[in-house]
Formats: sequence, C-alpha cells, structure tokens
Amino acid sequence: MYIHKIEIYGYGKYVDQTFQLDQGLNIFYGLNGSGKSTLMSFILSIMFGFEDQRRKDARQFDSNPQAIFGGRLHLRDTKYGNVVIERSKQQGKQVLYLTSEENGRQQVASFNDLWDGMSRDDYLAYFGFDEQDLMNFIWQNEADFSKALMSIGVSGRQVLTHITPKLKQEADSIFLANGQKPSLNQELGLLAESQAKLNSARASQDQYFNYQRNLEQAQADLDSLYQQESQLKEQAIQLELADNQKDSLAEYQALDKELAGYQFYNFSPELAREWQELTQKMANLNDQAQDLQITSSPSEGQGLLPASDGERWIQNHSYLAQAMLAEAESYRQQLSADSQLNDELVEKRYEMSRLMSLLDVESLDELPEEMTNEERLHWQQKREMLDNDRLFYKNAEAELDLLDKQRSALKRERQSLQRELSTMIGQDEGDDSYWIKSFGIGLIVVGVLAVILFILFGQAFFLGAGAAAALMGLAFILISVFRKRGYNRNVGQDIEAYQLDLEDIDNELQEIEDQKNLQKNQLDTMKSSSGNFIQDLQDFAVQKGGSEYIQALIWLETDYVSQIKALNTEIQALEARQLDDMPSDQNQEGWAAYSQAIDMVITSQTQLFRQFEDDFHAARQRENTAGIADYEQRDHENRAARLNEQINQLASQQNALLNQYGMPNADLFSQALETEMAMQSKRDRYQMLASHLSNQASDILSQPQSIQDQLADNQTNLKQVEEAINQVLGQIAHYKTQLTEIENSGLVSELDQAHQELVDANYEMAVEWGARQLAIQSFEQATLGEEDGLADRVLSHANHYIYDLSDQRIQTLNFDAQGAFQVQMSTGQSLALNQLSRGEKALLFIAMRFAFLGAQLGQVNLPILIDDAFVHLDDHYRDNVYRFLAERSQDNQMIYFTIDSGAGAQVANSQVFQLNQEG
Amino acid sequence: MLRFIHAADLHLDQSFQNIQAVNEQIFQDMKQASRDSFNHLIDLAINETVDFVIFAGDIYNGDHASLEAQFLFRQGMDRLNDHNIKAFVIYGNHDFIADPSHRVSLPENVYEFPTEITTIDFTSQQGDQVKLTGFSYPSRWLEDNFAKDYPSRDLDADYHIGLLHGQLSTGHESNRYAPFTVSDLKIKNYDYWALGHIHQYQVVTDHPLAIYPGSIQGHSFKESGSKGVALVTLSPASPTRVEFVETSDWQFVNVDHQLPQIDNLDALRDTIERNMHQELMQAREDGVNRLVKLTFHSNGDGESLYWWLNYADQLLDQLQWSLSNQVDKNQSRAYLVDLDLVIAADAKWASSQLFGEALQIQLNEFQNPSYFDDQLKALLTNTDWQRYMAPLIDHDQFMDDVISRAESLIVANQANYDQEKRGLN
Repeated sequence: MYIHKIEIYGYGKYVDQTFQLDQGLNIFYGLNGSGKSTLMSFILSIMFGFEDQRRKDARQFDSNPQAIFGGRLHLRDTKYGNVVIERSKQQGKQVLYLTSEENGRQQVASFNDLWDGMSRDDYLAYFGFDEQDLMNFIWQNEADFSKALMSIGVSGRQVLTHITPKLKQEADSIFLANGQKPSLNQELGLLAESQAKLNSARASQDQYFNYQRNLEQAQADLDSLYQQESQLKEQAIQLELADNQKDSLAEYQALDKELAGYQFYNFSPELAREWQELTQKMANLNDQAQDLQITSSPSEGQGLLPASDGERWIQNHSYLAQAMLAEAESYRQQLSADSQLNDELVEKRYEMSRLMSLLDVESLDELPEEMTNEERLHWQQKREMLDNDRLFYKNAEAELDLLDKQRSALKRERQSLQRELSTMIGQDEGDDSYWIKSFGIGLIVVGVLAVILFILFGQAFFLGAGAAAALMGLAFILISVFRKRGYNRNVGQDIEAYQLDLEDIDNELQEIEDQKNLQKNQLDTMKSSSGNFIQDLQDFAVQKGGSEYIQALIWLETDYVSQIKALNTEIQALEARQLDDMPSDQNQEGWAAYSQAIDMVITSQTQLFRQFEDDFHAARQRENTAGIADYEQRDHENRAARLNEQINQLASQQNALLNQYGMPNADLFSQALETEMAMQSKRDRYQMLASHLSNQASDILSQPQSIQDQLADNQTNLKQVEEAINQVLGQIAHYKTQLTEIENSGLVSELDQAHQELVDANYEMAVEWGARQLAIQSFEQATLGEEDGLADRVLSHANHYIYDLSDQRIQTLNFDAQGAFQVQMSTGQSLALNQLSRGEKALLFIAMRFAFLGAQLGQVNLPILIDDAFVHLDDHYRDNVYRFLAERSQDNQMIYFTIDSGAGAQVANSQVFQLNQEG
Repeated sequence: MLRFIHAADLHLDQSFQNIQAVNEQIFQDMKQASRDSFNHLIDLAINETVDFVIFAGDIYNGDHASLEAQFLFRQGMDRLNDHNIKAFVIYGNHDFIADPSHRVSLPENVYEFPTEITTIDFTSQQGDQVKLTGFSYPSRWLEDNFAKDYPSRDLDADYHIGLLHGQLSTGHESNRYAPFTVSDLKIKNYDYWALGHIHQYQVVTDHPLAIYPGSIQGHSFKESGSKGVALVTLSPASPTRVEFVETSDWQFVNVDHQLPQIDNLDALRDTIERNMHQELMQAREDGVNRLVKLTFHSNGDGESLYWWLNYADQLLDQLQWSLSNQVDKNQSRAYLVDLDLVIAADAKWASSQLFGEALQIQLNEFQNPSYFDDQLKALLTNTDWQRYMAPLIDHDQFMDDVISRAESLIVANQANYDQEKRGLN
C-alpha cells in the first residue's frame, strides 16, 4: 500500500495544499519550522485520528479558521484497492469518509481495517524511524546490545532491554532468593511470628479444657466438703440436743427408781372417778342431813319479834279495838277532807276582794244597793245618748278644720288674682308703639330741617333727603298708631274677667265663716250636758246607800255588787262547815287506856291513832302465822328420813367397792387411789421420756468424754471444713474467671484472621513475583529461543540487509548459544558487537528494523515514515543508508523528512519536495 | 408432615480471604458475618417451628475447633433446646473429632453421630416415625465409599433420612471425601439425603432428593453468591418441598466486564465507579452486602491496557476508600475488594503475530508443573514458604493464578512500552 496523494484542506500552516507522491522514496526537505513535522502529523492524523486537543503537551495544529480542519489521503494498492480516506473535524467531531471504487464514498468510524488494526503507536513503532530511536539504541549499554538488537529484530520492540529489565526489577523488589528487604521476604518472615502467636493462642485455648477439668474436680471436692460440713453440723445438733436432754435423763432415771419400788393395783381411771363421785355424793348428803337438823331444832317462835305492849292490849281488848280502829280510820279520812274546804274558802275570799277593789270600795258597807233593771236601763240609755253626741261633736270639729283650710286657700287665691290684676294694669305704660312714634316724629323733624337747609342753601340734595326723611317719619307714626289700638283692646277684656273671679271668692269665704260659728255653738252645748251625767249617777249611788267614792260607771255597767254579796254568803257557809267537822268523844275511855298501855310518848291524836292502827294489824298477823309452824315440823321429818335412806344406799355401794378391792376402809381406799393416780401419771411421764430420749443422746451421754469436750472438737472440725470450702470456692471462682476470659477473648479468631490476611498478602505477592518470572522467561525465550526458528528467520533477513548497508563489509551476523552476537566481516574477521563503531551499530539497528519488517510483518505493507533518523550518521554511512532506503522503497513506500539538502542528490528514482519556512 | 432445616459446611471459625485491604470498620462487620448467618439459621428454625435441624458436617473449619466457634454453636443449640427443637450432627473432613476432650459438651437436644454408620429414631410432635442414618468422620480423609454401607430404608418408618458428608464421584475418578455415586444413594430408597461438603447449593438428584445446601457464609471469592440453608418439608401426600433460604448478610461477588476503550485516567475511574454503583444498587435490591471483585476482560487494546496497568492498583485503593465512605450504614452496602484483569484469549499479544504466538507458546510451557516449579524455584524452596504457605495453598490454583497474571503482564507491558515510547516522541 502506498500514499498516492496528500490533500490538505487545512492543517497547521497548510491550507488547500496537495502533494503527489511516488510509490517509492519521497523526500521532504526543509529547515526547522518549514512544516515537516506538521506534514508527518497530518498523515498520521488522517490515518489514525486527530490527537486529543485536551491532552497535555499536544501540539496544536489549528488552521486558518476559513478552511476545513483536515484533509485526505489517496491510497493505492490497499486490501480494498485504491481508496481515498478523508478525515475532517466539524463542530468538534471527527468525520471520516472512505471512498473506494467498489462502494463509493461512505462515512466510516475508523480506517483501522486498512492497516490490520494496527494502532498509531504500533505503526510508529514498526514503520516509523526517528533519530531518537536510533541514538537511544546505539548509546545503550553494550552488555544489553545483543538482546536489544535481537528484540528489535524479533519483536520490533526493545523487549529485552526495556520490558524485561523493568519486570525483573519489579520481581526483585518483591522477592529475592536470599533477600531480606523485598516485601515478600519480609512478609514470609512475619508468617513465622504470626503462626507462633496463633499456636500459642490455640495452646492457651487448650488450657480451657484443663480449667474445665480442674473446675469439675473442684466442684466434686466442694460437694464432698459440703457433705462433711452438713454431717458435722448434724453432729453438733445432736450434741447440743444431748446437752439439753441431760436434765430429762436424770428425771427419767429417778422415775425409773421410784416406779420400781411401787406395786400398781392397776386401778382403772374410771374406778377412781367412780369412787370420787361416790365420796362426793356422800359428803353432799351428809351436809344436807346436817342442815336439816339445824333448821328443825328450834320448835317455836321461829324468829318472830315478841309482841309489843300495844298489841298485847289490843289482843286483850278486842271488843273495843274494833270500834277504835273505825274511829282512827274515819279521823284520818276527815283530815284529808278538811284540807279541800280550806282551799275553796281561800279562792272565794280572793274573788270577793278583787271585785270590791274594782268598784273602789273597802268594805261591804260602802257598797250601794244593786240597781233595779228599770233603773239600769234608764241610766244606760242616758249614757248612750251622751256617747252619740260626743261622736257628732268629734265629726263637727273635723269639719271645722276643713272649713278653715278652705278659707285660707280661698284667701291665697284671691291674693294672687289681685296681684295679677295690678300687674296687668301697671304694664299699660310699657307699650313699644310709643318708641316707634317718637322715631317717626324724629325723622319728620330731620326732614323739616333738611327742607329748611334746602331753602337756606338751595341745594337739591337737602330737599331730597328732607322729603325722604319726612315720608319715612310719617310711615313710622302710622305703624305706631295701628299697634296701639290693637293692644288696648286685648287688655280690657282680661281685667274684667279677674274682677268677676275675685267676687266669687269673697262670697265663698263668707259662707264658710257662718258655718264655723254654727258648729262652735253646738259643741259647747254638748260638753256641758256630758259633765252633768257623771255627777247625777254618782249622786244616785249615794242615794242607793253607796259610798260617794264608788266607781259609778262600773256600778252601772256590771253586776259586781250582787256577785260580791253572793260570795260573802258562800264564805260564811263554808266557815260554818269547818266548825261542824271537829272529832267526837266516842271511846274516850278506850283511847285513854290504850295510850296508857303503850309505853310511848304520844304527841298528838293523829300519832296515837296511827300507832293504834299499826299495833292492831301486827296483832292480826301474829294470829295467822301460828298455824304454819306445825306443818313445817312434819316436812322436816320426812326429808330427813329420805336423806338417811340415800346415805345408807351410798354407804353400801362404798362398802361393796371396799370389799371388792380388799380395802379396810374408805379413807385408806381414797388414799390408795390417790397414790395410784399419782404413780400412774409418773409412769406416763416415764414412758414419754423413754420414747423421746434418743439413743444417740444416751450414747453420747454414755461417752467417757464430756459433751462440752465433744462440742469443742466438733467446732474445730467444722471450722477446718469451712476453711477448706472457702479455699475450693476461691479455686472455682478462679477457674470460672479463666474460662470466661478464654471464652470472651476472641483472640484465636482475631489472630486467625490476621494470619489469613498475611497468607493472602504473601500469596498475592507470590503471584506477582511468579508472574513476572514467567513473563520475563517468556519474553526471552520468544525473542532468543531457538525452538521456533524465529531468530533465524530474522537473522537471515538482517544478514541480507547489513551486507547492503555496509557496502559488503559485513558478511553475516551470528547469534551464539550464549545470547551474544558475532559479526562476521567480509575480511573473514569475526568481531564482537562491542568492537564495532557507533556508525556500524546504527547500520545494525537499521538492518534489524528492516529485518523485523521483512521477517515478522511481511504481510503488512505500509509506508515507512522516517523523521530525519540518520542525520547524525557519518556522510559515508548516510549515503549507504540513502541507497539502501531507495532500494527498500521497492517493497515499501518511504516518506523521508529531512533537513539534509543532500539527501535527494544521492539517490536516484526519488521525488524530492522542497519545503520553505514560509510554507 | 415433617419439616426440618438442612445445613452444612458452617465453617464457623474460618477466616476470610482477600479482604485485608478493606477498611477496619467493614472488617469488623465482616468478622460477624459467620456468626450472624448462623444466628439467622437458628432464628429460622425457631420461627418456622421445624421438627429438627440437620448439620451435615464441617461445622468448624478445623479438627482443632476454636472455642469461639464451639461456644457459638453451643449457644445456638441451647436456643434450639429452649424451643424443643432437636439437632442431628455429623462431623466432616474439616471438623472430625481428633480429641474429644477438646470439644465443649452440647445440650441434650443434640445428637452427634458416632464414627460408625448409625441409625437412630426420632418421633416428631405430630407422631411421625423418622429414621436418620449417618456417621461422623474419624479422620481427615475417607477414601472408601461409605454410602454403600448405609442400611436400606426402614419400611416401618414414615421417613428415612440419610446424612452424608462426602464428595460425589463422577465416573471412575475417586476422591478422599467418602466418595459416592448417585446410584449409591438411589438404591437405598431414602426419602431425603442431607449432604455436606460442597459449598455451593446443589441438587444432586431429585429422586430421591439429595441436596448440598452449600456453606452458610462465603469466605472468599471462590465461595461467591447466596449462602444459606435448605428448608425441607416431607409429606406423604405431596412431593418433597425444598426451599433455599439465604441466611448470610455478606456475599462475595465476582463480576465480569469487558474492559472498554480507555484513553485517560478519568475514563478508567469512571468505568470502575459505574460498575460499582451497579453493584451497590444490586446490594440494596437484594438486601445483602456485596463484596465485589471486578474482573475486566481486555481484548488487548494497548492504550486501554496502558491506563489499566499504571492506575488500576491506585484506583483500587482509592475507590475502596471512597465507596466505603459514601454508603449509608443502614442500607446494604457494596465494597470493591479486588480488581482483576483478564486478557481475552483472542487478544493480540503483539503486533507481530509470529512474536505473539511465540510468547503464547512460551507461556504455555509453564503449564508443565515441573517447568513451572523450576522457574519459581527460588520461592518454592524458601523455608518459610514451604513451612507456612505451601500447606495452606492449592498448588494448581497457584499455578493458574501465576500464569494468568503473567499473561496480562506480557500483554500489558508491551502496551505500556509502546505508550511510553510514544510519550518520548
């Protein structure tokens, strides 16, 4: 494939520029800045794309803004035949067109297919030559030169001088066989430590099970110690119990002795009770019998008081006593009746004196006789008339007051009328018409004066003014005359009316005065007749035999006089009855005898009678009781008999029992029973003690060592066991703490993970190291290895080229087993690479580069771009190179950019373009 | 109806791999992950009022089970006991009992199968008669087929369940974990096979139902995805129902993406962040925290590889930090734990096809273990490595990891070289 034509639309300094190229060698000659680099950049850009403008160090190839950025290349002999590739930048985007004979112009994404997918960098690496490549190559380490030379030939890259050394360096920084510093060496060293830590953590975890075993042992020990402890405590309790039972045991032993010396009858408890009941009954019966004897022994009197003297007298004088009793009783009744009569008398006397005081009399003598009914009627009528008059009089008086008030009211009215009238008359002078009239007259006067002035001075003004004033004056006078007449008519009517009213009031006042006088007269008559009536009545009472100070009106209105007289009569009757009721002198003798018989001081008759009555009743009582005594005597005897019978019965029962048990008498039997019961309760107690006193206690008590000593021993043992328990508890706590600590430590898993991380890291590094070892090995073998014949293929090409390049001075290149080149000169001399000059080395480089193209990239035929790569070579070598290039351009198109003006001259069949600095 | 939980491979005391770079806070949360998952398992058993729980081996990670793990397990068993739930335990290749005195005792509701094949009876609350057959490992490796020696189904029982910790052997190849075949299981005619050993949920066969429930918590990116237990319902009337219940709060997630064309640092950062954001959204949706390893597949594009090679590690450090910082703690989280690069098989290794092929041929040579070991002799013969690393790593895996890493180094370094060379121009 070759570039037939370069068309630039716009790129850097080039605008609308076209270069027609040869299929062979094309030389672009120009000084620095003449556009060689721009042109080379253009070719690469059209093929592989414009460089990213954003990239740092990117060279700007901005063009004339008028031109389209980009251009096209006409390519011949591509895999698609002759094509045109076109690339431009529009609105920041690259637009590609591929024009082929087959498909015409088509927009495409890339042209990579045309160069078998080779990238720009690959292309430059293999088809680009520049000075720097060459210089770097020939100046590099002589030891590596063989490898570099071979790498260039085999891979087109300086694999063995650039890539593998880098990999080697990296690998060495990771691991060295006997190294200390490389990271993997260091990390492997850490593994040992980490593993050791992990092992020790695991070992300490194993302690867990030891602790667990110890714990179990300790817990078993603890159980047995607890058992010992509880046994000792039990023992202590037994000892203390035994100690407490010491007294009980002594009692038991005493009872044992006592019971051994007693023969039991084996009385049943029922028997004892039965006997006790019998004895009790017997005692009761005997008591009753004794009581009976005591009450029946006094045969008479039975405790009654001896009869008094009075009683005895009454018993002896029973005929009199009956009458005397009646008398004493009636006297007692009389005494109570008298007290009632007296009360009535007092009441009546009080009533009488009250009535008399109302009448205002002091004795019965001052009382007048009672009025007869006619008299009373007459006087009462008289009095009623007087009362009626008095009532009328009161009314008249009230009327008189009323008249007085009317009179004064009328007088006030008259006065006010009088005042209004006189005011009205007085106002007559205050009439305003007078002032109007006066003003009118004034005006007339002024008018007249004006006329006079007119006349005097003959001025028309005065005449006019005077006439006007006079006319106005006349008008005012007329108004005043009309007002005066109207006023006088109104006032005259009012005065007339007032005078009529005043006359009426005067008449009414006269009538009231008359009436007052009449009433006064009537009142005087009435007062005199009333005063006369009281005097007349008083006189009439005196006339009827009464006192002159009597309340005559009460006498008239009440019947008090008759009532007083009736009361007086009753009082007298009552006083008479009181005198009648005095006691009689019956049984005079009897009473005397009685009072003599009783040996008492009798102060009153009442007392005497009361004593008699008492004595009488006492005597009666005594007679009645005498019959009962006989009956009681008989009853006593019966009861005694019955008691004796019961006593005998009990005694026989007692005897039967005595016989049964062979007892001589009851007392002994009772005693025996009592003893038996006491012994039986002792035996119960004995048995109770026997059953409760433990064997252990008796065993303990039977020990030769005292209980106190045994207790002390027990305490000591207990203390020891408790100490042991505390110790074991401490151990258990310790083991448990250890166990918990191990349980919670989590150390193993942490270390395990840490160890794993270390292993991971080591593994990672080992992979990185190993991969580099393999990569290095692969590169070296691929480049230098003999198995696939690659190197030989390359060398055969190289030999061919170096022969040309060196003007047949260098015959062949040999690559020995040690990886070193030997140069076979045409002279037959064999040289090592380091014996060659730098110029010769450059030739070797060029030969190897072309050998790579020929041997390895034979299938890819692309133009070779040379950027003044040989400018530093000696002229002699350079000429050889030019010639060689011209020859090689038969296989590949060559585009050679140079500042060497002589380049073109040396080579035939080449097209030379002169580039100017101005473009 | 019989209802039980089938769990296996708890590995309660297993530490986590590849998370050392994640920050301390996340690490603290992570450390609880196995514990939380186990507690969720117990919660599930209690909430679902199951008849019993089967633990089909590998409760602990090592025969020398850590105390923390033992206490945790005992605590869980105590809780089951409080709710009257039985537990049937077999021990596997990891937690076989080497020294019984180093195991804490478990409550009475737990039955631990002895090392001989043993059948026991269980009567459910509903009166179902259940037979359970199983055994515990006496040592780390069992090369014999034990499944063959299991008794045939007890015809009197309502259900017969087999507990087996072992590895299915396919074809003629054998293994050291009580190898068995599907037909060994079928012939016994059991109602259910409770398997253990494989850490990924897996139904081995439907008739009879034989299931690996998988581990309850992933511990590395090799154990990615949902982790949990099988909730099994056996019923005479209807077919057996199995529900996988996720118990873990933390998932290891491997995510693969194509490495896009990258021509600057921001583009690389953007690529990683965008993918992580997707993971975060997924975590929130699933309600499970995600520990993410992003693997990018490169087609060998030189420029993209250049950026990757120079900045991916630094970005990993930075994005681990920034993502852990920006996430609300109350929501599920996603963390970038690792970044990986894989070169696509068809990627161009070099512009020179011949050279590329030569490199590939060379690298393939290292698949030969002796050749590989020879190349890495310096490390592999290191005493510390031999003592501390070799026993812990799977050599085949190591080889794969190294070769794959070498491949990406070869491709990326050439790309890098080109870029650097370009930078010089």
